[in-house]
Amino acid sequence: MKYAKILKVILTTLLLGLSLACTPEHLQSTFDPKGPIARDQEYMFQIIFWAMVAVFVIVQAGLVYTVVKFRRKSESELPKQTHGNDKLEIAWTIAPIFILAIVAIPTVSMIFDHSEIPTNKPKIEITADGYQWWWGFKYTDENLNIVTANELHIPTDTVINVSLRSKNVIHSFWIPKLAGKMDLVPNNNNSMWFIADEPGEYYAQCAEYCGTSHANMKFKVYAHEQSGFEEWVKNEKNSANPNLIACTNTDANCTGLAAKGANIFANKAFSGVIRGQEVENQRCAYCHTIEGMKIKGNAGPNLTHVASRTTIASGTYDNSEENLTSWITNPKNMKPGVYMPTLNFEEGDVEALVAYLQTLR
Amino acid sequence: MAANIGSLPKFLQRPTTYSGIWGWIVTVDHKKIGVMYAFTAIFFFLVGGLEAVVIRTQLAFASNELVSPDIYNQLFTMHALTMIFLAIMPLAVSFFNLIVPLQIGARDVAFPRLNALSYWIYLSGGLVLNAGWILGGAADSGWFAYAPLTLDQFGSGSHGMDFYSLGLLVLGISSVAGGLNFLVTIINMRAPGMTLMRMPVFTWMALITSILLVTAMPVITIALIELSLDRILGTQFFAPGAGGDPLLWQHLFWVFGHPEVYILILPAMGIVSEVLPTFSKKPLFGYPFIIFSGIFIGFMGWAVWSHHMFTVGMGPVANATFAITTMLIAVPTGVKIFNWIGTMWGGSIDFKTPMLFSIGFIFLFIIGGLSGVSHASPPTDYQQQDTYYVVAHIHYVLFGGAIFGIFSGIYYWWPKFSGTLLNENLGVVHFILMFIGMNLSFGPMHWLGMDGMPRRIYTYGAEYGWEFWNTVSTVGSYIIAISTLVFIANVIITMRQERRTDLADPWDGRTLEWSIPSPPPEYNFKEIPIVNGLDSFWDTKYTTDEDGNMTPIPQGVSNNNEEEVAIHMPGLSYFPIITGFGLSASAFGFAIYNQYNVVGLTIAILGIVATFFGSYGWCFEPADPEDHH
Repeated sequence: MKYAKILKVILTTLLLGLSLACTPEHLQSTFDPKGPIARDQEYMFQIIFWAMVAVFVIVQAGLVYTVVKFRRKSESELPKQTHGNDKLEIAWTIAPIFILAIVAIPTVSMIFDHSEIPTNKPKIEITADGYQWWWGFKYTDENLNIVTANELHIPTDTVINVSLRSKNVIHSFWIPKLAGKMDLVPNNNNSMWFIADEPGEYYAQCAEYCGTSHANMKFKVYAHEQSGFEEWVKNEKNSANPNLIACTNTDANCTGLAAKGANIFANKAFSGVIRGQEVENQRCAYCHTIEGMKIKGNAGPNLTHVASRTTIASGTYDNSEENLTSWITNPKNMKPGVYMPTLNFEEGDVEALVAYLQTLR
Repeated sequence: MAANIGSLPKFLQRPTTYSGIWGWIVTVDHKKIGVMYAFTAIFFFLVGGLEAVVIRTQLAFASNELVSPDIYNQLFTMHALTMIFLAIMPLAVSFFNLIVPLQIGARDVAFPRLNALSYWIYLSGGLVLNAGWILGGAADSGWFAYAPLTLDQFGSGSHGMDFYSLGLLVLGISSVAGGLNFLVTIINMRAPGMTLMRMPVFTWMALITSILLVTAMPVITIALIELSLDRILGTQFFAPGAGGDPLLWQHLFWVFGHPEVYILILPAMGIVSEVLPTFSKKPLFGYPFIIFSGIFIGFMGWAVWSHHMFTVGMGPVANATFAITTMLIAVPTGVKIFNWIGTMWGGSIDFKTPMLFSIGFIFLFIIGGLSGVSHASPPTDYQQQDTYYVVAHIHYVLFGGAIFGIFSGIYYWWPKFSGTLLNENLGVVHFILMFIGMNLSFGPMHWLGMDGMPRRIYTYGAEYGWEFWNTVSTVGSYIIAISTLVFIANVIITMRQERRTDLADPWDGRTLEWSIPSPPPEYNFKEIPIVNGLDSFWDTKYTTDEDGNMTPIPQGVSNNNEEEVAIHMPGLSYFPIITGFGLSASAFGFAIYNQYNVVGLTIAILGIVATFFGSYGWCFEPADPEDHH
C-alpha cells in the first residue's frame, strides 16, 4: 500500500510538471469563454465543480479514513454488529437534496434565461445547414442575403440567432468559446443564439457523430468590429472577378490560366469516381455555386469567395495552393468518405482550376 | 407425455448421461450455465478491450494514421456494444446464475431450460453481432446508432448496421428470457422463512435488474424492429426525406438506454454490498435503505432518459424537468455510498482482493457520480455533451463501477465454484495496476472534454493541444491491458491447481451459498435450509447480544459426508441449443440478406425451421428421461 501511495505522488507530480511545461493553445477550451452564453455555462460549471469538489473531499476523506482506521489489526477481532442508524441515514438522505438545490436552482433559471433572445442588442439571423461533412451558412436578413460555407463572419456585441437545419444526418453546432452545442436534426427545426464579446478567430466543430469524416467537419467563426464586418459584407455581396465569370458565359475569347480554369469550372465535363462508384458528366458547377455563373449547384460548398477563406475542406486544411491542388486532384485522400468525386482531369486542368479559385477573393 | 417419444428421433430424446463437452451442451444446471456465461463474457471482454487498445493507440498522437476512419468508427461502435451487451450484462447474468439460487436456498432456477436457451442465444447472438468483421464491415454508427446515420444512404457503405439491428434483437430475447427467469425464481423459489426483507442484497439487486430487463428490452426491440424494417424492407420510420423522425429513435433508444445503465450498475452494487460486510465482519449498514434506494434508482431510471438528449432541442420545460429528475438520482446513489462507508465503519477490514476491488468501486463510482451531476445541468451539458468529458464519465461509472464490482465478485465467489483460491498476490497486483491504469486512462478525458475535444473523432490536429493528455490516456489503457493479463494469468495458474476441500466458507461469509461445499453438489442443498433472519448463515456461526457484541459459536466437525442422495433434478435437454442457434441463424440470415439475398434467405428459413423444431421438441419433451420406460 505504502509503495502504491509513493508511486501515485511521484506520478501526479510528474504529470502536473509536464502539463505546466507544455502550455499549448486551447483553441476549443470551454474555460476560455468569449461571449455571455459560454460564460454563463462556464459559471454554471464552476458552481457544480466546486460543490462537487466539496462533496468529493468530504466523502473520499470519510472513505479513506474509515478504510485506514478500521483495517484489521488482529485475526480474532470481533467488531460490534451494528445494523444501521435510522437518524443518521435519514440525515444523509436529506443532506444531498440541499446540495442538489444549489445546483438545481441556477440550472433551471439559466435554462429559461437562455431561452429568451435579448432584445436590447442588434440581431442577425443565420441559417446553418449541416452536410456530410461541411457547413453551409446563409445570412437571411434582407439587407445581408449572403451565402457562404465553413467560415462564419459575425459582428461583435450582436445577437447571432442561428437556425439549425439538416437534410441528411444529425450534426451538432458547437463553438466552445462562444456557446455550447445544439443539434441539427432533420425534420426538427432548432435554433440557438449567442454573442461574441470581442473580435477574434474561434474554432468550432461538429460534435455529433455524423459518419466517416465526422472528425473533419470543422468550421471557424470570425468575429469583427462592426466596421470590419461591414467590409466583409461588402466584399461578399460583389461577385469576385466578374470578368472571368463573363468568360464562362459567352464565347468570349479570354486568355490566361485563370480564365481557362473558370471555363473548366463552368463548362467542362469529367468522368470520375464518387465513393467507389463510377460517375459520368460531372462539372464543378453542378455542385458548387460561384455567384454570377449560369449553373448554380448546391451539393457542395458555395465557392464565390473561396480564396478569402483561410481553410478548405471544412476547416481541415490551410487554404494554400498546394492543399487546393491535392484536394481537387484527389479529395478522398484528404477527407475520407467525401462525396466530392475524384475526377479524371487532363493535364493542366487542376493547375488552371487552382489558379482560378485563387482569384476568388 | 410418454406417447410423444416416438415422434422424436432417438438422438433427440432426452439425454440421460453427460460427459465432456456434451455435458456442457445439454446442461440445464444453473451453475454450469453460469460458468459458461462467465467464460464467454470474459472472452468478449478481452475482445472489447483489444478494440479499446487499438482506439487508444490511434489517438495517442495527433494526426495518427494507424487505422482508417471507417475502421476506427467500427472499433468504437463495436467496443461499446461488446462491452455493454456481450461483457458487462452477461457477466452480471453469470453472477445471477451462479449466486442467486444458492443465496435463496434453491436447487435451480425456475425455468432451467429457458436459462440454457438464454445462454445459447447470447453466445450465438454475440457472434451475429460480430459477424460484420468478416462480412464487409461491422456496425459503425455508434452504439446508440442515431438515425438516420443508420440508413445506408448516409453510412459508410458497409452493411454493418444489419448485424447491429438483428444481433441486438436476438440478444434482447436472451435478456428478456433471463430477466423473466430470475424474476420468477426470486419471487417463487426462496427457501422457507426467507421473506423479501431477509433476502441478500445481491439477490435484491438481481430482482430489480430482472424487472428492468423485462421492461426495458421490449422498448429497444420496437426500435430495432423499425430499424430492421427500414434497412431490409425499405420502410421509412427514420428516413428524413420521407418525413421519418430521427428523434423517435432517440427517445425509444434512451427509454431503454437509461434503465440499461442501471441494469449494468445495480448487479455490481449488489456484489459490493455482499463483499463489504463479509470483509468488514459487520452486517450491511442500513439494509432497508440500501434496498429501497436500489428500488428507487430502478424506478427513476425510467424518468431521466431525455438527459441524453438535452441538445436535441426539446425546449426549456422538458430540459428543466429532466434536469431535476436526473439530479434526484444522486440522492439514492449517495445513500448507498454512505451506507457502504457506514458498513466499514467500526468493522475489521480485511484487504483481500475482493475487498480492494469493492473499495476501488466506491472510490471511482463517487467520481463518476459527481461528474454525472455536472451534465445533469443542461447549461453545462451543452458544453460537455458529445465530448470526452462524457466518455470519462461513462468509464468511471461502467469501468470504475461495474467492472470493478464484477472483478470483486469474481475474486469473492471464485472459490465457491472452483474449489480453488485465486492467487492473492497476483490479485493485488491486478487491482493496483487496474486502478492506476483506469485513472490514468479516463481521468485526463475529463480535461480533454472541457478543452473541447469531441468524442468519436478518429483524428485531431496537434494545434488543439490535446496530444499530451491523449498520450497519457493511451499509456493508462496499456496499463489496464497489462492488469487484465495479470488476471488471466492468475486464472490460468489457479485452474491448474488441485481442488481443495476446505473452501466451503473461505471468507467467513454471511449468506447461504457459503453453507454448502465448494464446489456445490449438483442439487446445491441436500436439505432446503430454513431461514430465520437476514444473514441466517452467519447466525449459525456467531451469536450477537443486544449491544451487538458477538461471540463465535463452537462449530462441530462438519459432517461433510459425500454420500449420494437421490434428489430429483431437472433433466438435460438438446432443445435450448437448437432453438437458440436457430433463432440466431435466422437473424444472421436476415442480416446478410442485403448482401447475399438467396444465401441469406436460405439461412433465415433454415434458422426459423430450427427454432420451430426446437420449440416443438421442447414442448413435448418428457419431463424425465425415465418416463419412457
